[in-house]
Amino acid sequence: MKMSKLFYKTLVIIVLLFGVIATATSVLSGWNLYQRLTAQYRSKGTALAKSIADSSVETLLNSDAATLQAIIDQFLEIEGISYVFVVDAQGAIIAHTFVPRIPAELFQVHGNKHATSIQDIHITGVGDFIDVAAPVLVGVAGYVHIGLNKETIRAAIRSAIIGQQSLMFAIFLISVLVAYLLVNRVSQPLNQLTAHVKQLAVHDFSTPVSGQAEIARLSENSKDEIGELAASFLSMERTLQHSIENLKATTAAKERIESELKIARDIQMSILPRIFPPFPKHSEFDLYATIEPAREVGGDFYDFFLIDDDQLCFTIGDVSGKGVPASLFMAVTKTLWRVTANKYNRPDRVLADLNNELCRDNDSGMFVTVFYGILHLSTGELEYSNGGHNLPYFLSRQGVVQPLENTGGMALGVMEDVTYRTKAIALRAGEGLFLYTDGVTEAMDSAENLFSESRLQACLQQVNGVAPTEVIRHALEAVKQFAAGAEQNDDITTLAIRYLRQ
Amino acid sequence: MRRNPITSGCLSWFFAILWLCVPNWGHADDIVIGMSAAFSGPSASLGIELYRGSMAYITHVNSMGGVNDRKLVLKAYDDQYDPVSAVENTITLVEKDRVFLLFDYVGTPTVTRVLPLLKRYSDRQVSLFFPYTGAQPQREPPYDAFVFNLRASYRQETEGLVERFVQMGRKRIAVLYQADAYGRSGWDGVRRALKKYALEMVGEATYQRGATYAQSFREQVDILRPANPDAVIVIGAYAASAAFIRDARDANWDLPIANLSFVGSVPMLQLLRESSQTRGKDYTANLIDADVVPSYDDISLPAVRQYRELMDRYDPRPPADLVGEAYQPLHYSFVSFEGFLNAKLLVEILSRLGTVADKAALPATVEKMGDYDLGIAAPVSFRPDKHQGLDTVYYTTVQGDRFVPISDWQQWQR
Repeated sequence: MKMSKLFYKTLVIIVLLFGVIATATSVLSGWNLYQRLTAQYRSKGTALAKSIADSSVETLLNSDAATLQAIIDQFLEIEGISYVFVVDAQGAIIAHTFVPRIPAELFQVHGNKHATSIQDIHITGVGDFIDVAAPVLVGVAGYVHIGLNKETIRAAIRSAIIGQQSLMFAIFLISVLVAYLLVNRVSQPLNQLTAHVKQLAVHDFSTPVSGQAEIARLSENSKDEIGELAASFLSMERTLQHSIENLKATTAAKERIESELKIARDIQMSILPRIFPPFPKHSEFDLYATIEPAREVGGDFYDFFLIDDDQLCFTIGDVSGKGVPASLFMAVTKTLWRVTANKYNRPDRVLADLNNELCRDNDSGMFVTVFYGILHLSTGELEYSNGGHNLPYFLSRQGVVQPLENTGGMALGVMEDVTYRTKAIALRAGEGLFLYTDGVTEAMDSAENLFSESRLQACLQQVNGVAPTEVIRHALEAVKQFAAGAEQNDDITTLAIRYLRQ
Repeated sequence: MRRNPITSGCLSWFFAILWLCVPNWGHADDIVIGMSAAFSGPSASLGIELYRGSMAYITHVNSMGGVNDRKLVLKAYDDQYDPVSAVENTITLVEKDRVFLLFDYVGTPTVTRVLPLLKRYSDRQVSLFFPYTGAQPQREPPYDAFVFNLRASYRQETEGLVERFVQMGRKRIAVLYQADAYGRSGWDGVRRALKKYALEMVGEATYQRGATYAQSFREQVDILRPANPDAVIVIGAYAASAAFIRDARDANWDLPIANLSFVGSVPMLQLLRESSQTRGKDYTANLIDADVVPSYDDISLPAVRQYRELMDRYDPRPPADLVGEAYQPLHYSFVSFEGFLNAKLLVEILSRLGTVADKAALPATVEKMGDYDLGIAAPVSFRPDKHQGLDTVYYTTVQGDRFVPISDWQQWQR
């Protein structure tokens, strides 16, 4: 099994910690023990040397070496005492416990007459000793020397440190085991969660995520951060699943609506005349129109028809708002316009009547701007009336481009019984009109600058004397270049007429 | 009333077994004396032979009806030449076995440590008779009051040896001694003896008590030899002495080596003779022994004749509970002869004490003996200030397969 990274880190920390503790305690307790044992040995040696000195006064004075030897031999049985020797008044060693001989170093060790003296001595090939010398009868009878082996102290320290380190090692092993178990208890659920989340990332949610039951158990069983994390994961997962299901439903609904809108667009387009040239038998004029809704369906419209052999009526309109409501209002407007345009032969009357029709039962509060014109084919006279729409541009034979004079009417569908006025202009051969909706002039580039009337006017001036198809193509191209890929946010509708009567 | 013969048979068996089982049951009027000595370890031969010599005479006396019609019983314990065991054995003998007196103890370190105990038991009037040691403490106050010695002291032995070496022009004396009270006692004796001639010992070395013959003494040889001594006096036990002699001779160091009586010359010679045979080298030359009893070969002495007769007759076995079957007893030896003399003198003392056997009267009885003839051509006498019966030191050397009295010291003249 691979070692958990958490455990590895914990192990390193434990090892370092124990290393420091073990070293520190060894040094400290070794030093302590050395100090204490040395002090203890010194006092023990002092006491023993004194007691031998006191008890051997008589024996020493009697020069009874054998009894002295018997006395000092007993002290060798005491732990830590390596040698005892007695020096007489003449400085001769008269009893000792050395085998096979007295080390030369000890002839140099001399006692103090008035107190026990302690010296550290080294005996070559044997070791280090603490020599305690006690005077007998203030040194008059001699001295008693006791040698305490430092190796005994060292061995005691060694065994104490070994014992201590064994204990430390045992604690270390237990700690590692406990850490392993603890870390495992933390890391195992974490690993489980990690694996689960990784699985989640590549899951498509069409089926339930496997392993959910284990995570749920985890969140129930651990009442700690891990449990909370598991619970959060679980809740996130459920929300995610729910959202994805919603998204799927919404997408399906949208797709359905989009396909319906597509049909609606087809229907809407089909109610607009789209065959150009529309009247091949009439060479007195040329007419072209386009519509480009911002969405599937739009609120713009145009229409035209021949009232009789001499009169061509045409219109362009823009319903307020966009989308489906606008498109329905547009359909209504366009249908009513056909009826009304057939009923009256004066544009102001047509708009007035259309306005009243639209205002009736207009609960939606929508309105529409309409420009309406009748071109007399035989004379080139153009009668027109405007209901709040952008004034079309007059394209003169001299290349002058200017808007028509306004007739001053307001948008239709706002209020009933509004009066409109008709104005007339005479077109000569080659002259024409350019009708548009505000989608053209209000087309925006990415910096939200408007295309504007001035740009449109300049654009139209460049194409003097060409066919309506070319005019519109040129104008739309300019708009498209201006927008430079920015999103189209309004319907763009154009209609161009050119009077061709000789 | 008629008794069932089976029942009475069983009963008598029961009592017989009971009698065998209970220690020291004996007869209420037996005189029980206690002994603590080495019956095992490197000095085992000393304890065993001392015991055998004593038992030869005790068995003889008991077969004649005992002392004042009382049987003499020797109760022995093994102390392995260890002072602590010796002290424990003494406590057992005094308090549990309630012995009449202590007898035949072996060794200086052991006896030296037992001495304070005797003082402690002074109200019980327990005396130690004839310990096998020539050390000074039991010959001097305060302990001489509790001890009666038969043999001469180590001081006398060493003094005699030094005197003779000096006479032969051997003034450079070195000492090898056991690192304990025995060794120190002999060392002190040599030192004092040399002082009389304004001399000092030229070298000294020690060895640990309990050293065996297998041990190497090369180190001690190397310590003493550079001092260039004319003679070495060894204050040791037989195994260590033999080992030293072996290693000295192996190093081609052929100076005279002298031993004290304690060494046990017969067992020492036995070890050296075995090595001589296996290695084809004579390890027994130039050896001198100080002894405190005459040679057991001197059959001109009545005591020697009696000793030999009784040893031949009884061939006493060492105590079976202390010594295994493996031990080969020595036919005759200085040690068993000393044991024999110890027992002979003790029996004489006890018979003089009378039938009442009053412990309190014991010292006075001994001190009033006058010159008693033990049969060794040297009178035994005690005084209140002299609790040592003999003062004679005998010197022997190896001739053939045994130690014989030295007839000519000139061979060591230089």
